[in-house]
Amino acid sequence: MSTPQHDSGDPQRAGLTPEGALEQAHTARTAAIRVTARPWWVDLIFVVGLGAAVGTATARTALTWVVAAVIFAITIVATAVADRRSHHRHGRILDLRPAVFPGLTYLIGYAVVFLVGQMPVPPSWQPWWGSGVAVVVAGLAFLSLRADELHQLRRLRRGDYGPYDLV
Amino acid sequence: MPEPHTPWEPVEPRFDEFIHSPNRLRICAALDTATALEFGALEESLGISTSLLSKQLRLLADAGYVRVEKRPQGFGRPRTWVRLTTEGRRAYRGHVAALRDLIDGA
Repeated sequence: MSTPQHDSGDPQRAGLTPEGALEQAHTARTAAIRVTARPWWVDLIFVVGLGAAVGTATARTALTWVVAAVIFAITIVATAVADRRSHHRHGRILDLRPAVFPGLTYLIGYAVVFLVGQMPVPPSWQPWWGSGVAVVVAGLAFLSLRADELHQLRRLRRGDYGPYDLV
Repeated sequence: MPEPHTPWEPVEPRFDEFIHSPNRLRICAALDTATALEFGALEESLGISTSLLSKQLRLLADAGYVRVEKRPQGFGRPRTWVRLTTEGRRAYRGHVAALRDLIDGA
């Protein structure tokens, strides 16, 4: 292993002014974060499947619950494959300082889905009720996922994380 | 002016002429945003040729600042991942701190 030169000398001798060097570093950070961000279509695959599963389950029959479970399982696999193929970075900020506490987000989401699933709606409301629920659940889930991703990107750009947060 | 980093740990400002080379500085800056970046993504981020990136990564690896490894995928060809070593991350952050000191002292 060769030893690099460490020098506290003149930065301009090495070709860049300090301001220029910091500007280049910032530009490189920003570009790397932009290129490796999780694409919106991966989230879209997940929320479409999630919405379809929840919407199907609102019919509240044994058959529709099974179909909903199958749709959800397929969604998980499809999202995992899409995420893997579009994955260009390792390391997400995992600390307790996201835009909204993640546990709370999931709790609210779960409560909404549970309450919607328990609502006794007349059969004549279907399939419009199920379709409406699917669209609302998918829309809210999409907004939540994108907000989380944008929050991650903002913090990565600023270097706003602790020694053990980037995992 | 870019926003300052919140350092991971108290960083000792240390000007590093090896990192100060424009391409190596940009490579380290990009790698500092992740635990590892895929080679193709790094190439696209920096907009430099494959051969130049490979050469600079080899130099950085020889200096002990980065690690390059091929990882097999569940499907498809193995992909090359690049990451800063602990020493590399410390050197990069120390260099950035030194640059800030130089600007503040000017």
